[in-house]
Amino acid sequence: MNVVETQNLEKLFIDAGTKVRAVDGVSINVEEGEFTAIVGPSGSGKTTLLNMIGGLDNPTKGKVQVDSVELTELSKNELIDFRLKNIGFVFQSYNLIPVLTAYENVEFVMLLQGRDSKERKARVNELLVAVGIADKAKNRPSKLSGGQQQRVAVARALAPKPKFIIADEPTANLDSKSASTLLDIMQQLNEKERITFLFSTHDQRVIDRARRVVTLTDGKITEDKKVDA
Amino acid sequence: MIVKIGWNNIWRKKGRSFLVILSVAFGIWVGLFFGAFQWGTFVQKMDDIVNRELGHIQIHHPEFVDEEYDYNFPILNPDKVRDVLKNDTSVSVFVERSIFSAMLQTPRNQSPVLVYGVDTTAEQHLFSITSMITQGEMIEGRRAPSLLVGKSLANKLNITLGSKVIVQGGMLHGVKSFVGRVRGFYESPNKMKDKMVIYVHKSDLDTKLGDGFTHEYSVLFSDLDFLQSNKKRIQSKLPMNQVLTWAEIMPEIENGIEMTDQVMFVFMLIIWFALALGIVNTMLMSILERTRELGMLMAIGMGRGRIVQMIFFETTILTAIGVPIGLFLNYITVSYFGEVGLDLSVANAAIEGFGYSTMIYPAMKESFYYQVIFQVVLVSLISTIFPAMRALKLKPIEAIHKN
Repeated sequence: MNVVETQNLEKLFIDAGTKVRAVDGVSINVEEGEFTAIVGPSGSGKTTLLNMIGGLDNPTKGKVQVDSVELTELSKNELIDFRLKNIGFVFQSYNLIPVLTAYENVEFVMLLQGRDSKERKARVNELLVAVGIADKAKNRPSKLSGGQQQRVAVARALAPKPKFIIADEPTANLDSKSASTLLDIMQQLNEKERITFLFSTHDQRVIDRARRVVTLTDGKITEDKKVDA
Repeated sequence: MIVKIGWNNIWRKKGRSFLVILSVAFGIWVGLFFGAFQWGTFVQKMDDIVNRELGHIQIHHPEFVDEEYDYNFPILNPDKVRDVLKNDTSVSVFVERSIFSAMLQTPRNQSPVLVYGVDTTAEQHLFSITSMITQGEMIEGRRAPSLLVGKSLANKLNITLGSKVIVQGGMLHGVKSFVGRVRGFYESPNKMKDKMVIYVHKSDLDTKLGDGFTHEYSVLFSDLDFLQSNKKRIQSKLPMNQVLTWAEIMPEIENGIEMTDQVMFVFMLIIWFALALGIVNTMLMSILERTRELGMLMAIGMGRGRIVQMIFFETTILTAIGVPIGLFLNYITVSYFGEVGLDLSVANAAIEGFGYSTMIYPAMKESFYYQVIFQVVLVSLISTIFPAMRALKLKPIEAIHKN
């Protein structure tokens, strides 16, 4: 079953009067439970593609369907609501809420969803254990290392039980040990809970773990290969 | 959780938050204090001039006021007037006065004066002449009528206690004069009056001049709220004379109060504008600093309504902290100056010249609290609209990647 489906996706930017086609006719399907890396050099359109799939940016042309919902037909408010219920985000620079603890950061999205406190508590504790920072639950982001912050970000992305998680360069700011730990966690979650991950990366450590690697060059898919486990 | 985020955001930059809190507190403080000052001034003026001199209404000959207190126009049918006032239940007290302009002459000096023939016993209920006496006394029934002269006039004419003076005035049937003896000096809050008005017992005046005329009835009501209806009723009973309210007799007092209101309005506009600028600036800074965070919140699904809610919550909290501080500062200053008074004589000699007391005692009215707090809260919330709009205009994708 396809979680994500794009058809002839295009994104045109105008940079200093020059038209730049950041994404150029990309059609891609992502099935449930995939662990997919979108790779390519800087400026190849990886982040732009993920932003459109995540409903953060509108395509100039083409269609994006997530769980059979056409994102281009949703209003701004509907998109916000759709993201809240269906998509988890992990950003390169963690982007946690600095005034909340690790626990509260994970809980926050569930609160926005209106989940009851019992369910929130159980889910947050489960996720903090899963990402290995249960003992840091009461710490604010400023008291956590980069790797720990990114693990909180993964837990936060997983908390609302999204259809899939978009991770934009999740290991870019991490040392190799932290990156390895983070990838272990995401891989386990993917294998055990069949959570779909979609990365944009040029980090070889991520590429090595991905089971599908889609290469973008100048906004076009130039290679799409599945890796046997 | 939004409340918690908002609350913690406030304390991220303590200095900036304190600035907003202080702005709100200052706005409340200044707004209330000037309201109290304004009200104190009004009460003072009412007390100095209306309650202690004019009365709430006065009754005159229809042409007496138009002819600038011409003593050729005494009250018509004073017995009827007395009767009506005695039987009107809304009247708290009334006095009758003879007034005429005259020349006060000493062997070496002279000065134009306004002679007030008063019943000192009855006047005690309206204003206490005796309490204004700084030297001497006012004895009734002497052969040479006792005169009470303002201290500043006495200084001007070199009059001492016991001095004999001639009071010469043009009366209804020609020029009349009498010899009086200065037996007392007075000082009132109205410096202009001290230089112009001399008091004499009305009975002595009637004996000396033989006219027995009354030029003015000054009336106080037990409740000032029904001034206009009381005036109309009394006027209908006394159609031959003219009934005037204090504001009609001295429109400059009412004009002065209105002018003060307008000045206060402009002043408060400036205060609110400054407060609004402070809040807009601070909240805008706060939002610009959190651009990435706000972008992330929008990206993960925090709706626009909740973003606005959070920003307004922050302003509300800052305002809620600032309001009691402002109230407290106002309480201290109004309590203090309400007790010791604010002496404006140094700052504004003109006030004295107008005949108002130069000591102002700020006083609070309950409605000030509601008005000023409402205005501050409104200004704070309105000031938050612009920063909130800026936050809503953020595009998550651009905001997240902003450094």
